[in-house]
Amino acid sequence: MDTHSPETREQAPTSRRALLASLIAAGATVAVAGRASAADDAAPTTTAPPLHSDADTATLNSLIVREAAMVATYESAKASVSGDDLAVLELIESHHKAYVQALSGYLGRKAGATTAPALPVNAGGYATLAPQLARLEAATATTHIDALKSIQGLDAATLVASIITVEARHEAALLVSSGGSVDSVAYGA
Amino acid sequence: MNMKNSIVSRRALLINGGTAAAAGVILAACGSPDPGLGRIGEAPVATALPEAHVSDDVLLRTAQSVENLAVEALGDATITGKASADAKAAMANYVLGHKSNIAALTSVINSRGGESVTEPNTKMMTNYVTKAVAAIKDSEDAEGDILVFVHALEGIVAATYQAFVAWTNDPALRSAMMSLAVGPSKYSAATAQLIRGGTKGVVPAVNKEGVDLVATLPDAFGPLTSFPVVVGKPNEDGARVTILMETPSLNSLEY
Repeated sequence: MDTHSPETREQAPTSRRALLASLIAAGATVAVAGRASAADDAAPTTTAPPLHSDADTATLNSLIVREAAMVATYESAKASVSGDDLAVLELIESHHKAYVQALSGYLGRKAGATTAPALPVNAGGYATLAPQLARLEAATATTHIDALKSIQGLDAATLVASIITVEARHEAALLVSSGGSVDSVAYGA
Repeated sequence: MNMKNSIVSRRALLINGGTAAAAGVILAACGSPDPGLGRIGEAPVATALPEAHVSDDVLLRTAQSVENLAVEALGDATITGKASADAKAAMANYVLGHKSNIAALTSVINSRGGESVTEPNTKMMTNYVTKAVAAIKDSEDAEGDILVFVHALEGIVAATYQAFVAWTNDPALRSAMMSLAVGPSKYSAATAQLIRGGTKGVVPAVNKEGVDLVATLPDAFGPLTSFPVVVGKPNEDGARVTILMETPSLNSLEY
């Protein structure tokens, strides 16, 4: 049973942490306004980052394409497994579908393609597929980390960050559940 | 005597009275704040607290304090002494990963002219690690409790970086922090596999009593909620020590 749904994240803005984050952002805005009124104050100022930036559209669309490719890859890989192995691939595929939906929902009408061809994976049972999928998960997480360098909007950055931590977990889950040692996902892996 | 000959006519009285009232209002507005009720004796002069600004440097230093916390907790004598052989081997590798993150943070902090942190986060040490270790010391299932604790601890380290993205101004720093979150995320997932292994353990499930079991992939998105840790010996009512681990907040940042 998957206890998570995209709604879980939507509840986040009501949390104490979200409130604190918004308070900090508001405090930074007030500080900037106060500084701006003092024209002779030469001290450095801090500009609060924007919550949303149209400049992020192309980057986020490229992430949607990558996530859509991951969905297609899992859809293809599911054909050769069954039982608990299938349940794992279905769960991870549902996560990637949620990422496509969340990113395209964030962009709204500016969202581009939400489908993409599957990434190349050698067919086989779970023990063959899982390490390959783990490598794709690692590469996808790296793509998101690189994208963060250019993403200006805070809302998009926090969404991408919440995807990165789980894609790292995907990698470890696939490696260890297919027979890899716990040490293989630790330092240096 | 008629009104024309009066020294203080009714009209003059109204004009002068109005002028006096207006002057009173102006003087009151220009005056100093009301000092309040008179005070008998001497009272200390209130000193305002220094303004604490949550800058990117503060977040980096705090992340480093959380990494120090992980190293300290995983190296605790009770934890290493009571852990299973598998857990001990895994934790030794986790410590190497955290030390690598600490070194990376030191470089970033120093390059920005900041001072790196060498001590564990004080609040989190007191509120989470010390309490968990004390409970595990008396536990009837110390090996199991250690895994539960380490699973949450690694989760909270990863969640700290994720939470800080929303507070960080510099996009490049957000990216750097999330690159450091990957290791702890994987350690948390790997520890979940030590608790409930195989493909069955990846998918969320509940036991016969309807209680959630530990899952390697419990969420589609990284949560920023509390990470519950239930450890220790049950008391006479069957209750165990419950610790809700949270990412650093305004009162636990390294300013």
